[in-house]
Amino acid sequence: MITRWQRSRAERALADALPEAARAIARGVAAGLPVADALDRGADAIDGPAVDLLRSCAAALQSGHAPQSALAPIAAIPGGVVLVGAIELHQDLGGDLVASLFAIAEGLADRERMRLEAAAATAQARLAARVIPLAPIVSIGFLALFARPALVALFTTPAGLALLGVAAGLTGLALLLLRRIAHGVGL
Amino acid sequence: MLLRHVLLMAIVGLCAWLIAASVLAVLVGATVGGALSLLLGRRYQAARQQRQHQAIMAALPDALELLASAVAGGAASELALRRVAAYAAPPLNTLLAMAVADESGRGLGIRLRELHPALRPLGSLLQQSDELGVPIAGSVRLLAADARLQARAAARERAAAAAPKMLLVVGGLLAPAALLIVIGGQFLVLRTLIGPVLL
Repeated sequence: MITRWQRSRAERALADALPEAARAIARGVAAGLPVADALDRGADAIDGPAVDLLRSCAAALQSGHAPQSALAPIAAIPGGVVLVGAIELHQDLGGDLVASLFAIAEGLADRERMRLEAAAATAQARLAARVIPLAPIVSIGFLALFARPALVALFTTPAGLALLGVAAGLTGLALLLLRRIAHGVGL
Repeated sequence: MLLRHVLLMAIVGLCAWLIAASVLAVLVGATVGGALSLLLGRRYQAARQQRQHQAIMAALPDALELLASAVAGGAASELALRRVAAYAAPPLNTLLAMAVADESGRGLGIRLRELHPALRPLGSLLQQSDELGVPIAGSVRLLAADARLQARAAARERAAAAAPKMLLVVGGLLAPAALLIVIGGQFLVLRTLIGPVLL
């Protein structure tokens, strides 16, 4: 679970760095460098988690690996397939790689901006959704402290157990819906 | 599809029988179940189509950008589109691959226009290019910029709608769940205390 969470965080960090990496590669290609050198020089020009990735891809290309396998680590990042596609299509069919890379970088940055905008727009609702599911547990705690008969009635009578079941069902349904809504806006 | 309708009708009919134990209740229950199944089925289908449309619109700008680059390099539009399909996100990749694989003899532009409403502008562009021989790289780039603007507006709209939806779920489901425990517990105690007096 923790490994998956760490991997997802690492992937997100790489995805965030991808637009800047694409711009750095584009600048290198615009200066007339081959793609492998542009990747290497791009790694010099940026900071963060994408540096090692660009360096390893550049090394693989320089050592003669096919672009498809050399650039596979970039393709594995969310949004990276398009970047790799632009480079591979350019190698096979030609075209304006610089314009493509700049446009793709803009698209990737746009996606991140939209994600942040969605996060800002839903911040209040997401906080409420995180706090309110704790309310039933807190309520049970308060009942235990100040109204023990009510707590006993909840856990020992069929009606009380039915109420707990309905409350749990509503909470589960709410969390499911919240997750779907958040997923729908890329959060 | 029919099986799902019948199953839901039977389940709601059975529930009605358990509650009211009469033939009329079963008939009403089955009718309500059928209507519910029809309504939910349509709603599910519409939501699925909308999600697919959103996914296509989100993937379109990048794919158009790649296409513009490939045709600017001198590749034929059919070959360029075949290669671009490999890098496009689903379900756009499937649609593009279908358009290229179609061997009906109609032009690529017409095939794209018929496949999906989101592909109509690109289809028109390729059709005109086929018929008139005009270069398309610049126009595809403009189309990509336009598609990016549309995707941005759609994403903004979804983000704006998400906040009230979330608050609705919080207010309509989470808050009542919490209240149910507090008020329900007190109600059960009150019922125990007051019940014998009232009876």
